[in-house]
Amino acid sequence: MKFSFMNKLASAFAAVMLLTASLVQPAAATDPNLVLDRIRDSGELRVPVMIGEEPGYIRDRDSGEWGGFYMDWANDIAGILGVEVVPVETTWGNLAADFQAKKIDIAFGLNPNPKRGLVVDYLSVPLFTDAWAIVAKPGFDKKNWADLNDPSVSLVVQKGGTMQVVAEALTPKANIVVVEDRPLGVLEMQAGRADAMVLAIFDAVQVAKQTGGEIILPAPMLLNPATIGYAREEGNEGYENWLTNWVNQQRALGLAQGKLHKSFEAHGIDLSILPPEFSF
Amino acid sequence: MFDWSIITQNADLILKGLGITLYYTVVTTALGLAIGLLVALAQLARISAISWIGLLFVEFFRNVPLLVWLLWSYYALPIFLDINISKQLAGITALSLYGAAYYAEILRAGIQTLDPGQTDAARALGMSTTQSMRRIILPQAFRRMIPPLAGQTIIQMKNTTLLSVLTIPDLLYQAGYIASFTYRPMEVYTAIGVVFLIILIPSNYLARKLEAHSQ
Repeated sequence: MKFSFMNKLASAFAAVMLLTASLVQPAAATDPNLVLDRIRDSGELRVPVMIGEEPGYIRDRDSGEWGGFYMDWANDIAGILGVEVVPVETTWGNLAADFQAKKIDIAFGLNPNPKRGLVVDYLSVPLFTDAWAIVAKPGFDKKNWADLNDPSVSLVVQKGGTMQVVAEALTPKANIVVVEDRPLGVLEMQAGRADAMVLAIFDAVQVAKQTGGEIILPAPMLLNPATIGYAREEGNEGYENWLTNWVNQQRALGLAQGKLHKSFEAHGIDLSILPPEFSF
Repeated sequence: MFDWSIITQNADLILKGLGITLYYTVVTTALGLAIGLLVALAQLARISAISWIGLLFVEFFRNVPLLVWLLWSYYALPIFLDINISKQLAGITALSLYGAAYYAEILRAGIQTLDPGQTDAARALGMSTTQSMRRIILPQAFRRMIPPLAGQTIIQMKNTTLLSVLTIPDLLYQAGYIASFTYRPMEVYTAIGVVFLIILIPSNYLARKLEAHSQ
Protein backbone atom coordinates (compact mmCIF):
# COMPACT_ATOMS: atom_id res chain seq x y z
CA MET A 1 0.00 0.00 0.00
CA LYS A 2 2.88 2.32 -0.60
CA PHE A 3 4.02 4.01 -3.72
CA SER A 4 7.68 4.87 -3.57
CA PHE A 5 9.66 6.91 -6.06
CA MET A 6 10.33 3.68 -7.93
CA ASN A 7 6.64 3.50 -8.59
CA LYS A 8 6.65 6.94 -10.10
CA LEU A 9 9.60 5.94 -12.24
CA ALA A 10 7.91 2.72 -13.25
CA SER A 11 4.59 4.48 -13.91
CA ALA A 12 6.23 7.09 -16.10
CA PHE A 13 8.09 4.34 -17.87
CA ALA A 14 4.94 2.26 -18.27
CA ALA A 15 3.01 5.28 -19.56
CA VAL A 16 5.57 5.81 -22.30
CA MET A 17 5.40 2.11 -23.17
CA LEU A 18 1.63 2.20 -23.30
CA LEU A 19 1.71 5.20 -25.57
CA THR A 20 4.14 3.42 -27.86
CA ALA A 21 2.03 0.28 -27.82
CA SER A 22 -1.16 2.17 -28.59
CA LEU A 23 0.38 3.51 -31.77
CA VAL A 24 0.89 0.06 -33.19
CA GLN A 25 -2.33 -1.65 -31.98
CA PRO A 26 -4.77 -2.55 -34.72
CA ALA A 27 -8.24 -1.11 -34.21
CA ALA A 28 -10.07 -4.42 -34.59
CA ALA A 29 -12.59 -5.68 -32.00
CA THR A 30 -11.02 -8.23 -29.67
CA ASP A 31 -12.40 -11.23 -27.87
CA PRO A 32 -13.40 -10.08 -24.33
CA ASN A 33 -12.27 -13.44 -22.96
CA LEU A 34 -8.74 -13.16 -24.27
CA VAL A 35 -7.14 -12.59 -20.86
CA LEU A 36 -9.31 -15.09 -18.98
CA ASP A 37 -8.58 -17.75 -21.59
CA ARG A 38 -4.87 -16.97 -21.54
CA ILE A 39 -4.72 -17.47 -17.76
CA ARG A 40 -6.66 -20.73 -17.94
CA ASP A 41 -4.57 -22.03 -20.83
CA SER A 42 -1.31 -21.15 -19.09
CA GLY A 43 -2.38 -23.08 -15.99
CA GLU A 44 -0.89 -20.31 -13.84
CA LEU A 45 -2.22 -17.34 -11.91
CA ARG A 46 0.86 -15.16 -11.37
CA VAL A 47 0.46 -13.21 -8.14
CA PRO A 48 2.81 -10.51 -6.86
CA VAL A 49 4.21 -11.20 -3.39
CA MET A 50 6.31 -8.91 -1.21
CA ILE A 51 8.40 -9.06 1.91
CA GLY A 52 7.73 -6.62 4.74
CA GLU A 53 3.97 -6.75 4.04
CA GLU A 54 2.72 -9.09 6.74
CA PRO A 55 0.05 -10.26 7.33
CA GLY A 56 -1.17 -9.76 3.73
CA TYR A 57 1.86 -11.61 2.43
CA ILE A 58 3.79 -13.85 4.78
CA ARG A 59 6.95 -15.57 3.64
CA ASP A 60 7.75 -18.62 5.69
CA ARG A 61 11.08 -18.00 7.37
CA ASP A 62 12.48 -21.46 6.61
CA SER A 63 10.64 -22.94 3.64
CA GLY A 64 10.37 -19.64 1.75
CA GLU A 65 6.74 -20.49 0.93
CA TRP A 66 4.22 -17.68 0.66
CA GLY A 67 1.07 -17.32 2.72
CA GLY A 68 -1.04 -14.51 4.14
CA PHE A 69 -4.58 -13.41 3.44
CA TYR A 70 -3.81 -12.12 -0.05
CA MET A 71 -2.43 -15.55 -0.91
CA ASP A 72 -5.59 -17.16 0.51
CA TRP A 73 -7.64 -15.12 -1.94
CA ALA A 74 -5.25 -15.86 -4.77
CA ASN A 75 -5.56 -19.58 -4.07
CA ASP A 76 -9.34 -19.32 -4.00
CA ILE A 77 -9.42 -17.57 -7.38
CA ALA A 78 -6.89 -19.96 -8.90
CA GLY A 79 -8.86 -22.93 -7.58
CA ILE A 80 -12.03 -21.82 -9.33
CA LEU A 81 -10.13 -21.14 -12.56
CA GLY A 82 -8.45 -24.54 -12.29
CA VAL A 83 -4.95 -23.11 -12.30
CA GLU A 84 -2.01 -22.94 -9.88
CA VAL A 85 -0.86 -19.83 -8.02
CA VAL A 86 2.66 -18.81 -9.02
CA PRO A 87 4.14 -16.21 -6.63
CA VAL A 88 6.14 -13.50 -8.40
CA GLU A 89 8.24 -11.57 -5.93
CA THR A 90 8.23 -7.81 -6.41
CA THR A 91 7.76 -4.50 -4.56
CA TRP A 92 4.92 -1.97 -4.46
CA GLY A 93 7.11 0.37 -6.45
CA ASN A 94 7.55 -2.03 -9.36
CA LEU A 95 3.95 -3.25 -9.48
CA ALA A 96 2.81 -1.09 -12.40
CA ALA A 97 5.82 -2.18 -14.45
CA ASP A 98 5.09 -5.81 -13.55
CA PHE A 99 1.65 -5.44 -15.10
CA GLN A 100 3.03 -3.70 -18.17
CA ALA A 101 5.67 -6.37 -18.64
CA LYS A 102 2.98 -9.08 -18.29
CA LYS A 103 4.77 -10.63 -15.32
CA ILE A 104 1.65 -10.81 -13.11
CA ASP A 105 -2.07 -11.46 -13.65
CA ILE A 106 -3.61 -9.87 -10.55
CA ALA A 107 -2.73 -7.74 -7.54
CA PHE A 108 -4.56 -7.48 -4.22
CA GLY A 109 -4.98 -4.70 -1.71
CA LEU A 110 -4.58 -1.73 -4.04
CA ASN A 111 -5.80 1.59 -2.68
CA PRO A 112 -7.53 3.90 -5.14
CA ASN A 113 -4.87 5.87 -6.98
CA PRO A 114 -5.88 7.66 -10.18
CA LYS A 115 -2.26 8.09 -11.22
CA ARG A 116 -1.65 4.37 -11.16
CA GLY A 117 -5.14 3.98 -12.58
CA LEU A 118 -3.81 5.50 -15.78
CA VAL A 119 -1.78 2.37 -16.47
CA VAL A 120 -3.45 -0.37 -14.39
CA ASP A 121 -7.11 -1.38 -14.34
CA TYR A 122 -8.87 -1.46 -10.96
CA LEU A 123 -11.91 -3.49 -10.10
CA SER A 124 -14.71 -1.08 -9.25
CA VAL A 125 -15.78 -3.03 -6.16
CA PRO A 126 -13.50 -3.18 -3.10
CA LEU A 127 -12.66 -6.59 -1.69
CA PHE A 128 -12.61 -5.23 1.85
CA THR A 129 -12.41 -1.87 3.54
CA ASP A 130 -9.42 -0.76 5.48
CA ALA A 131 -9.14 2.39 7.61
CA TRP A 132 -6.30 4.75 8.42
CA ALA A 133 -4.98 4.30 11.91
CA ILE A 134 -1.98 5.31 13.95
CA VAL A 135 0.22 3.15 16.13
CA ALA A 136 1.23 5.40 19.00
CA LYS A 137 3.69 5.14 21.85
CA PRO A 138 1.94 3.99 25.04
CA GLY A 139 0.10 6.77 26.80
CA PHE A 140 -0.39 8.92 23.71
CA ASP A 141 -3.77 10.57 24.12
CA LYS A 142 -4.63 12.41 20.89
CA LYS A 143 -7.57 10.55 19.37
CA ASN A 144 -8.65 12.63 16.40
CA TRP A 145 -7.04 14.08 13.31
CA ALA A 146 -7.61 17.68 14.46
CA ASP A 147 -5.63 17.07 17.67
CA LEU A 148 -2.87 15.36 15.71
CA ASN A 149 -2.56 18.47 13.55
CA ASP A 150 -0.21 20.15 16.00
CA PRO A 151 3.48 21.09 15.73
CA SER A 152 4.19 19.21 18.96
CA VAL A 153 3.13 15.91 17.34
CA SER A 154 5.63 13.88 15.31
CA LEU A 155 4.06 11.44 12.86
CA VAL A 156 5.96 8.83 10.84
CA VAL A 157 4.82 7.94 7.32
CA GLN A 158 6.30 5.75 4.60
CA LYS A 159 7.74 7.63 1.66
CA GLY A 160 5.38 7.95 -1.29
CA GLY A 161 2.74 5.90 0.49
CA THR A 162 -0.93 6.75 0.69
CA MET A 163 -0.28 7.35 4.39
CA GLN A 164 1.94 10.27 3.42
CA VAL A 165 -0.93 11.80 1.44
CA VAL A 166 -3.26 11.29 4.41
CA ALA A 167 -0.82 12.89 6.87
CA GLU A 168 -0.08 15.86 4.62
CA ALA A 169 -3.78 16.47 4.01
CA LEU A 170 -5.05 16.08 7.56
CA THR A 171 -2.10 16.99 9.76
CA PRO A 172 -0.08 19.57 7.81
CA LYS A 173 0.97 21.35 11.01
CA ALA A 174 2.35 18.19 12.61
CA ASN A 175 6.00 17.29 12.27
CA ILE A 176 5.78 14.63 9.52
CA VAL A 177 8.74 12.26 9.47
CA VAL A 178 9.07 10.45 6.14
CA VAL A 179 10.86 7.08 6.15
CA GLU A 180 11.76 4.52 3.51
CA ASP A 181 10.03 1.46 4.96
CA ARG A 182 8.04 0.11 7.86
CA PRO A 183 10.96 -1.12 10.03
CA LEU A 184 12.62 2.31 9.80
CA GLY A 185 9.36 3.91 10.92
CA VAL A 186 9.32 1.64 13.93
CA LEU A 187 12.93 2.62 14.58
CA GLU A 188 11.94 6.31 14.60
CA MET A 189 9.41 5.54 17.32
CA GLN A 190 11.83 3.37 19.27
CA ALA A 191 14.42 6.15 19.05
CA GLY A 192 11.87 8.48 20.63
CA ARG A 193 11.82 10.81 17.62
CA ALA A 194 8.17 10.17 16.75
CA ASP A 195 4.92 9.88 18.67
CA ALA A 196 3.01 7.72 16.24
CA MET A 197 3.11 6.04 12.83
CA VAL A 198 0.31 6.33 10.27
CA LEU A 199 -0.69 2.91 8.91
CA ALA A 200 -3.57 1.04 7.36
CA ILE A 201 -5.39 -0.62 10.23
CA PHE A 202 -4.44 -4.20 9.32
CA ASP A 203 -0.79 -3.22 9.12
CA ALA A 204 -1.22 -1.29 12.37
CA VAL A 205 -2.44 -4.46 14.07
CA GLN A 206 0.77 -6.21 13.01
CA VAL A 207 3.09 -3.36 13.99
CA ALA A 208 1.35 -2.79 17.34
CA LYS A 209 1.76 -6.45 18.19
CA GLN A 210 5.46 -6.44 17.42
CA THR A 211 6.34 -3.12 19.01
CA GLY A 212 3.96 -2.88 21.95
CA GLY A 213 2.40 0.28 20.53
CA GLU A 214 -1.18 1.33 20.91
CA ILE A 215 -3.65 1.38 18.00
CA ILE A 216 -5.72 4.52 17.67
CA LEU A 217 -8.32 5.04 14.97
CA PRO A 218 -8.36 8.83 14.77
CA ALA A 219 -11.76 10.44 14.29
CA PRO A 220 -13.33 11.06 11.88
CA MET A 221 -12.63 7.55 10.61
CA LEU A 222 -11.11 7.48 7.12
CA LEU A 223 -12.11 4.39 5.21
CA ASN A 224 -9.74 3.02 2.64
CA PRO A 225 -11.08 0.59 0.03
CA ALA A 226 -8.70 -2.24 -0.83
CA THR A 227 -9.37 -3.44 -4.32
CA ILE A 228 -8.00 -5.75 -7.01
CA GLY A 229 -5.83 -4.58 -9.88
CA TYR A 230 -5.11 -6.25 -13.21
CA ALA A 231 -3.28 -5.36 -16.39
CA ARG A 232 -4.87 -2.84 -18.72
CA GLU A 233 -4.94 -4.71 -21.98
CA GLU A 234 -7.33 -5.66 -24.72
CA GLY A 235 -9.63 -8.57 -24.03
CA ASN A 236 -9.68 -8.19 -20.23
CA GLU A 237 -13.42 -7.43 -19.99
CA GLY A 238 -14.37 -11.05 -19.36
CA TYR A 239 -11.72 -11.32 -16.65
CA GLU A 240 -12.92 -8.10 -15.03
CA ASN A 241 -16.51 -9.28 -15.09
CA TRP A 242 -15.57 -12.61 -13.57
CA LEU A 243 -13.45 -11.02 -10.83
CA THR A 244 -16.28 -8.63 -9.94
CA ASN A 245 -18.57 -11.61 -9.63
CA TRP A 246 -16.06 -13.33 -7.34
CA VAL A 247 -15.60 -10.23 -5.14
CA ASN A 248 -19.34 -9.71 -4.86
CA GLN A 249 -19.78 -13.26 -3.66
CA GLN A 250 -16.91 -12.92 -1.19
CA ARG A 251 -18.49 -9.82 0.25
CA ALA A 252 -22.07 -11.03 0.19
CA LEU A 253 -21.25 -14.23 2.03
CA GLY A 254 -18.74 -12.61 4.37
CA LEU A 255 -16.03 -14.86 2.98
CA ALA A 256 -13.41 -12.12 2.60
CA GLN A 257 -13.94 -11.01 6.18
CA GLY A 258 -13.80 -14.60 7.36
CA LYS A 259 -10.46 -15.13 5.62
CA LEU A 260 -9.08 -11.97 7.20
CA HIS A 261 -10.11 -13.18 10.65
CA LYS A 262 -8.65 -16.62 10.03
CA SER A 263 -5.40 -15.22 8.74
CA PHE A 264 -4.91 -12.93 11.72
CA GLU A 265 -5.78 -15.72 14.11
CA ALA A 266 -3.25 -18.01 12.46
CA HIS A 267 -0.73 -15.25 12.91
CA GLY A 268 -1.49 -14.97 16.60
CA ILE A 269 -3.28 -11.64 16.35
CA ASP A 270 -6.56 -11.09 18.12
CA LEU A 271 -8.70 -8.80 16.00
CA SER A 272 -10.77 -7.86 19.06
CA ILE A 273 -8.06 -5.25 19.73
CA LEU A 274 -9.52 -3.35 16.78
CA PRO A 275 -11.48 -0.28 17.82
CA PRO A 276 -15.20 -1.15 18.06
CA GLU A 277 -16.25 1.57 15.62
CA PHE A 278 -14.37 -0.16 12.80
CA SER A 279 -15.84 -2.94 10.70
CA PHE A 280 -14.41 -4.22 7.44
CA MET B 1 20.84 -1.41 23.07
CA PHE B 2 21.91 -3.61 20.15
CA ASP B 3 20.43 -7.08 20.14
CA TRP B 4 22.96 -9.26 18.34
CA SER B 5 20.97 -12.44 18.84
CA ILE B 6 18.95 -11.25 15.81
CA ILE B 7 22.06 -11.88 13.72
CA THR B 8 22.90 -15.31 15.11
CA GLN B 9 19.28 -16.43 14.80
CA ASN B 10 19.22 -15.40 11.15
CA ALA B 11 22.76 -16.31 10.19
CA ASP B 12 21.44 -18.86 7.70
CA LEU B 13 19.59 -16.16 5.74
CA ILE B 14 22.65 -13.88 5.78
CA LEU B 15 24.81 -16.76 4.54
CA LYS B 16 22.35 -17.47 1.73
CA GLY B 17 22.48 -13.79 0.81
CA LEU B 18 26.27 -13.85 0.89
CA GLY B 19 26.25 -16.82 -1.50
CA ILE B 20 24.06 -14.90 -3.94
CA THR B 21 26.17 -11.73 -3.61
CA LEU B 22 29.40 -13.65 -4.27
CA TYR B 23 27.84 -15.53 -7.19
CA TYR B 24 26.77 -12.32 -8.92
CA THR B 25 30.09 -10.64 -8.12
CA VAL B 26 32.13 -13.46 -9.66
CA VAL B 27 29.92 -14.01 -12.70
CA THR B 28 29.45 -10.34 -13.57
CA THR B 29 33.12 -9.50 -12.93
CA ALA B 30 34.23 -12.29 -15.27
CA LEU B 31 31.71 -11.31 -17.95
CA GLY B 32 32.41 -7.62 -17.40
CA LEU B 33 36.16 -8.13 -17.83
CA ALA B 34 35.69 -10.22 -20.97
CA ILE B 35 33.29 -7.76 -22.57
CA GLY B 36 35.36 -4.84 -21.27
CA LEU B 37 38.49 -6.19 -22.96
CA LEU B 38 36.64 -6.48 -26.27
CA VAL B 39 35.31 -2.94 -25.89
CA ALA B 40 38.76 -1.59 -24.96
CA LEU B 41 40.32 -3.24 -28.01
CA ALA B 42 37.46 -1.93 -30.15
CA GLN B 43 38.17 1.59 -28.91
CA LEU B 44 41.81 1.19 -29.87
CA ALA B 45 41.00 -0.22 -33.32
CA ARG B 46 42.34 1.66 -36.30
CA ILE B 47 39.03 1.41 -38.14
CA SER B 48 37.12 4.44 -36.89
CA ALA B 49 33.68 2.77 -37.13
CA ILE B 50 34.81 0.09 -34.67
CA SER B 51 36.44 2.55 -32.27
CA TRP B 52 33.24 4.59 -32.34
CA ILE B 53 31.19 1.55 -31.39
CA GLY B 54 33.54 0.97 -28.45
CA LEU B 55 33.25 4.58 -27.37
CA LEU B 56 29.47 4.55 -27.69
CA PHE B 57 29.25 1.40 -25.57
CA VAL B 58 31.28 3.01 -22.79
CA GLU B 59 29.34 6.26 -22.83
CA PHE B 60 26.01 4.46 -23.06
CA PHE B 61 26.54 2.16 -20.10
CA ARG B 62 28.68 4.44 -17.95
CA ASN B 63 26.40 7.45 -17.99
CA VAL B 64 23.11 5.82 -17.08
CA PRO B 65 22.64 4.82 -13.41
CA LEU B 66 22.88 1.10 -12.72
CA LEU B 67 19.47 1.11 -11.03
CA VAL B 68 17.92 2.29 -14.28
CA TRP B 69 19.77 -0.41 -16.23
CA LEU B 70 18.50 -3.09 -13.86
CA LEU B 71 14.88 -2.00 -14.20
CA TRP B 72 15.30 -1.49 -17.89
CA SER B 73 16.70 -4.93 -18.58
CA TYR B 74 14.04 -6.63 -16.43
CA TYR B 75 11.01 -4.68 -17.66
CA ALA B 76 11.81 -3.17 -21.04
CA LEU B 77 12.43 -6.39 -22.96
CA PRO B 78 9.02 -7.92 -22.20
CA ILE B 79 7.24 -4.60 -22.79
CA PHE B 80 9.05 -3.68 -25.99
CA LEU B 81 9.87 -7.01 -27.59
CA ASP B 82 7.65 -9.49 -25.75
CA ILE B 83 10.76 -11.32 -24.56
CA ASN B 84 10.30 -12.55 -21.00
CA ILE B 85 13.61 -12.34 -19.22
CA SER B 86 14.16 -13.78 -15.74
CA LYS B 87 15.27 -11.42 -12.99
CA GLN B 88 18.48 -13.43 -12.63
CA LEU B 89 19.37 -12.97 -16.28
CA ALA B 90 18.35 -9.31 -16.18
CA GLY B 91 20.57 -8.78 -13.14
CA ILE B 92 23.57 -10.50 -14.71
CA THR B 93 23.12 -8.64 -18.00
CA ALA B 94 22.82 -5.18 -16.45
CA LEU B 95 25.65 -5.64 -13.95
CA SER B 96 28.00 -7.21 -16.52
CA LEU B 97 27.46 -4.53 -19.16
CA TYR B 98 27.67 -1.73 -16.62
CA GLY B 99 30.89 -3.18 -15.17
CA ALA B 100 32.23 -3.79 -18.68
CA ALA B 101 32.07 -0.07 -19.50
CA TYR B 102 34.28 0.75 -16.51
CA TYR B 103 36.64 -2.18 -17.06
CA ALA B 104 36.96 -1.15 -20.72
CA GLU B 105 38.18 2.31 -19.71
CA ILE B 106 40.70 0.89 -17.24
CA LEU B 107 41.99 -1.59 -19.83
CA ARG B 108 42.12 0.98 -22.62
CA ALA B 109 43.99 3.48 -20.47
CA GLY B 110 46.36 0.73 -19.26
CA ILE B 111 47.19 -0.29 -22.81
CA GLN B 112 47.69 3.30 -23.90
CA THR B 113 50.10 4.13 -21.10
CA LEU B 114 52.62 1.67 -22.52
CA ASP B 115 55.26 3.18 -24.71
CA PRO B 116 54.19 2.93 -28.39
CA GLY B 117 57.74 1.74 -29.02
CA GLN B 118 56.72 -1.60 -27.50
CA THR B 119 54.22 -2.19 -30.28
CA ASP B 120 56.71 -1.06 -32.89
CA ALA B 121 59.34 -3.44 -31.52
CA ALA B 122 56.88 -6.33 -31.54
CA ARG B 123 55.89 -5.53 -35.11
CA ALA B 124 59.57 -5.30 -36.10
CA LEU B 125 60.00 -8.83 -34.76
CA GLY B 126 57.30 -9.91 -37.21
CA MET B 127 54.41 -10.30 -34.77
CA SER B 128 50.89 -9.62 -35.90
CA THR B 129 48.72 -7.08 -34.02
CA THR B 130 47.02 -9.90 -32.11
CA GLN B 131 50.32 -11.53 -31.20
CA SER B 132 51.90 -8.30 -30.01
CA MET B 133 48.81 -7.52 -27.96
CA ARG B 134 48.73 -10.96 -26.36
CA ARG B 135 52.46 -11.48 -25.82
CA ILE B 136 53.87 -8.01 -25.24
CA ILE B 137 51.29 -5.35 -24.48
CA LEU B 138 48.56 -6.97 -22.37
CA PRO B 139 50.86 -8.78 -19.87
CA GLN B 140 52.67 -5.51 -19.09
CA ALA B 141 49.57 -3.37 -19.11
CA PHE B 142 47.75 -5.81 -16.84
CA ARG B 143 50.31 -5.29 -14.04
CA ARG B 144 49.69 -1.56 -14.09
CA MET B 145 45.96 -2.12 -14.16
CA ILE B 146 45.79 -4.31 -11.05
CA PRO B 147 44.98 -1.49 -8.59
CA PRO B 148 42.20 0.11 -10.65
CA LEU B 149 40.80 -3.30 -11.64
CA ALA B 150 40.75 -4.37 -7.99
CA GLY B 151 39.04 -1.09 -7.10
CA GLN B 152 36.44 -1.55 -9.80
CA THR B 153 35.79 -5.13 -8.70
CA ILE B 154 35.15 -3.94 -5.15
CA ILE B 155 32.66 -1.43 -6.53
CA GLN B 156 31.16 -4.25 -8.61
CA MET B 157 30.62 -6.32 -5.48
CA LYS B 158 28.98 -3.43 -3.66
CA ASN B 159 26.87 -2.68 -6.74
CA THR B 160 25.31 -6.14 -6.46
CA THR B 161 23.29 -4.72 -3.55
CA LEU B 162 21.17 -2.92 -6.15
CA LEU B 163 19.94 -6.34 -7.30
CA SER B 164 17.58 -6.26 -4.34
CA VAL B 165 15.40 -3.83 -6.35
CA LEU B 166 14.53 -6.85 -8.56
CA THR B 167 14.03 -8.90 -5.36
CA ILE B 168 17.09 -11.04 -6.09
CA PRO B 169 17.84 -12.40 -2.61
CA ASP B 170 21.33 -10.94 -2.12
CA LEU B 171 22.78 -9.70 1.17
CA LEU B 172 20.86 -6.43 1.14
CA TYR B 173 17.57 -8.14 0.27
CA GLN B 174 18.06 -10.58 3.16
CA ALA B 175 18.81 -7.63 5.44
CA GLY B 176 15.53 -5.99 4.43
CA TYR B 177 13.71 -9.29 4.88
CA ILE B 178 15.18 -9.94 8.34
CA ALA B 179 14.42 -6.35 9.36
CA SER B 180 10.83 -6.79 8.16
CA PHE B 181 10.05 -9.44 10.75
CA THR B 182 12.50 -8.60 13.54
CA TYR B 183 12.07 -4.81 13.42
CA ARG B 184 15.78 -4.49 14.20
CA PRO B 185 17.15 -2.82 11.05
CA MET B 186 20.23 -1.29 12.73
CA GLU B 187 21.66 -4.61 13.85
CA VAL B 188 20.95 -6.23 10.51
CA TYR B 189 22.41 -3.51 8.28
CA THR B 190 25.45 -3.18 10.56
CA ALA B 191 26.03 -6.92 10.24
CA ILE B 192 25.77 -6.70 6.44
CA GLY B 193 28.38 -3.92 6.47
CA VAL B 194 30.66 -6.11 8.57
CA VAL B 195 30.24 -9.02 6.12
CA PHE B 196 31.35 -6.75 3.26
CA LEU B 197 34.39 -5.63 5.29
CA ILE B 198 35.31 -9.24 6.07
CA ILE B 199 35.22 -10.14 2.39
CA LEU B 200 36.70 -7.00 0.87
CA ILE B 201 39.61 -6.15 3.21
CA PRO B 202 41.42 -9.48 2.60
CA SER B 203 40.62 -9.17 -1.14
CA ASN B 204 42.28 -5.77 -1.19
CA TYR B 205 45.27 -7.16 0.66
CA LEU B 206 45.58 -9.93 -1.95
CA ALA B 207 45.35 -7.39 -4.78
CA ARG B 208 48.20 -5.40 -3.22
CA LYS B 209 50.29 -8.55 -2.85
CA LEU B 210 49.61 -9.44 -6.48
CA GLU B 211 50.60 -5.95 -7.57
CA ALA B 212 53.85 -6.03 -5.56
CA HIS B 213 54.56 -9.53 -6.85
CA SER B 214 54.16 -8.49 -10.50
CA GLN B 215 56.53 -5.52 -10.32
